Amino acid sequence: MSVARPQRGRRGARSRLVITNWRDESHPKSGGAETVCEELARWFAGRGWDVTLLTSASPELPRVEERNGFTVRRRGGRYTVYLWTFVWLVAHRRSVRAVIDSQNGIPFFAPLAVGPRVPVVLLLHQIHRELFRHYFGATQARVGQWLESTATRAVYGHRAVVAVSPSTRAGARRLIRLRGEIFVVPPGCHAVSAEAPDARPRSAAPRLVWIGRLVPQKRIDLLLEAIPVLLREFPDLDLHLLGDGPMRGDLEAAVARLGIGASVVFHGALEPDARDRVISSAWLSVTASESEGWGPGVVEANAQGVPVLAYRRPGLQDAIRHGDTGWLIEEGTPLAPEIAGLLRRLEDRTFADQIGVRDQRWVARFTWEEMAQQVARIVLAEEGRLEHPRDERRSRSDLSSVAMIPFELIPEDVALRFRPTDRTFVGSDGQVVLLRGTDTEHAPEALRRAGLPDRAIQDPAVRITVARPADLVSPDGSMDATERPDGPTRPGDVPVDAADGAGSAADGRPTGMDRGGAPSTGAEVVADPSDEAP
Amino acid sequence: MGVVTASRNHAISADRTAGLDLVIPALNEEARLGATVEELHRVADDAGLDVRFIVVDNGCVDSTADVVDRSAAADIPVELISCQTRGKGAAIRAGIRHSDAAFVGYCDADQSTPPGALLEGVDLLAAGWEVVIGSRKCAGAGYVVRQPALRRAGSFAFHTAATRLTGPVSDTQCGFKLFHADRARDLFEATSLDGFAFDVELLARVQRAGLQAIELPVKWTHSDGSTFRPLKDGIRSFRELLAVHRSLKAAPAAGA
Repeated sequence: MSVARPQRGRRGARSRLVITNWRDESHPKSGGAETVCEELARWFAGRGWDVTLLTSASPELPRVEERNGFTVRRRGGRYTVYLWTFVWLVAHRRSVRAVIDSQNGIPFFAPLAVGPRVPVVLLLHQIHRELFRHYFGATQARVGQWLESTATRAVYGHRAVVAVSPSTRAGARRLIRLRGEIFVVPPGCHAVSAEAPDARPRSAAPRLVWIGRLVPQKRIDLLLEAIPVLLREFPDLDLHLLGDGPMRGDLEAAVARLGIGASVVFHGALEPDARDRVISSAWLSVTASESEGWGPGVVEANAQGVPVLAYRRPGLQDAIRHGDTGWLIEEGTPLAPEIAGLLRRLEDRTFADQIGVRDQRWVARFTWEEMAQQVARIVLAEEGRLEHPRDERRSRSDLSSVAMIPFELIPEDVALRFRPTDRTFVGSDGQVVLLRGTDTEHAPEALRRAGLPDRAIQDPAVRITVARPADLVSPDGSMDATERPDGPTRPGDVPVDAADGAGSAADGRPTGMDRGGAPSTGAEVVADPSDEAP
Repeated sequence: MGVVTASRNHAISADRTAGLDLVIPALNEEARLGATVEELHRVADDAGLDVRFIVVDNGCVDSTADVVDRSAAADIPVELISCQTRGKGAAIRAGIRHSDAAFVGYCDADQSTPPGALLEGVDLLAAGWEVVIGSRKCAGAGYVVRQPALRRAGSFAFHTAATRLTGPVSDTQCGFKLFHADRARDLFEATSLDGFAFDVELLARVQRAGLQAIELPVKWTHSDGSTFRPLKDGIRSFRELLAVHRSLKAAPAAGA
């Protein structure tokens, strides 16, 4: 069967995939998490799933809307959306096949609504914990933290979790102490600019951009305070703020107070094309955000070939490879000298373009197709887990290993079949595989199960290493590799979909991997549980 | 086995060139591991002792691996492997399997082993002792920071029970032990416990195999980062002691 196509067995009524999120992309205050849900909904709908996106209402938006093949149902406000979503799930629980339940601070507690047999994947955008205090008083913040941690832990138990970055995963284990298996799946990126960095219309004078919503935790004031200092060295420097939010009034007042009105432009929330035009005119994108899930602003800047300077904070430290795609500075470092130093280096257009090329290569690795495929595999794996319960105390390890297999060691007539939740990439020197939940000692066994012959496994050229946090994002660290066997830098994926090939990325795969077939070790994952229901 | 205690005035002039593989089990140790490895390496390097560190990732979600990479980039001989079975015992076993030096050992990631003890321990191995057991309790040792009362009472009860299995060892739980690799490898493979009582099982097997063991006094720091919860983990430790007892009965050590 297809990894992506729902099948209707005897419980044929269970056809709905429900995605919850407290806002949707049309909402005036939407951000990165909303884009993720929208893209997932669109992808699943495109694969024949009956998708419902449950979200909060907004006066200017319709209650129910059919869009891109899925249904958006809006009900409730900032707080009551949780209640309405829960009520809807309870009322429709018999028709729900699976739930992708967003936790952007507080989750929707879908397992209580749909019961223990329906797969619920918790989609963890960002750990809020410390962020609640930006929005609420002390008591309310504590209630928020309790809902985010203790209540979530109790309700979700061993349910699978998708975290958008290694930092989010670390928070999920250490702060929220979730017990389920956690998969790191970075969000996609809309479109890398077709323009090469050396062709982009960079402004003649030093230009900074700031991308994101104007909210307290982004600490835009730190950047504004750096501007007067920078103007002394770069009198024609300007700063463009892309995004809107509740802080706008305060920030405009701060700009007036600092006397930098002539050098700061508030654009508000622009349409993507207009936004990208502003970004591509910049020298450097700066963020002072204290925490991100993944950092969509980083991706948007990099897509135009613009590097980002950020503090080494959760999410940002995953989205930026220091010195390679951008720069990370330690918390507490004043911004002005750092920005000044980088502007001096970026004045050299050749240097700027080298970084720009790497930026575009970096974000080109992240596509919605890739994210959605992974989420689909996790949803199906979760279905299999609930159908064939194992000993819950032996939940899988947080460890992963990376194996690099040189192309010449993969026999022509062998199709390597990894578990659906493993990830494979075409690296510059060979096939790179992220073996989830597998330690370095058991990795050779995993390669053997995948079909690699013993003589290849024992070859010293096969490298097996402990997966670093960066490997969970992208196990192939070589951004500078231009010579790849099949040209494109986009990593290919082992197809799990033999039937129609829809789930396979046909490009960029060496011949040895270019074969379909259901994964041999993932039988319980791809089998549709509804066929086996008594 | 009458375990001897090393005294400070043992005149030892030993050959330190044999090399030591030191296993460090790590579970989310990004904050402490780097300093531990750096300090041990600095002292060992100054003394001409060749130490390779084998850090065993036991399921970290933090940036422990990046810390190891930074140490390696600073020319410290350190390797990172991983062990998916949770527990200190399992991680140490995996590290020992990975080792190939003449001397092997393990220590904690939290800088609780003073680097000086490492040198003294290797000297004792070179002088012919087959096992060096770090001890916070034998003559000459002591806690730099005194442990809480409840913790001490629990420790006493645990110790009394544990030494029925291991023979007279003043401190079974100190996280610092060194071995002659050729004598210890089989003992490590024979152990079956993954958790807290792994040390007890290992020492019991050392005793049964009749190895020449010596206790080495170490000054110890009770660090705040300790994950031990007195009640829950205390009860579990005693259950694990029972498991050690069963394990020893089931599979008597070879050569005992």
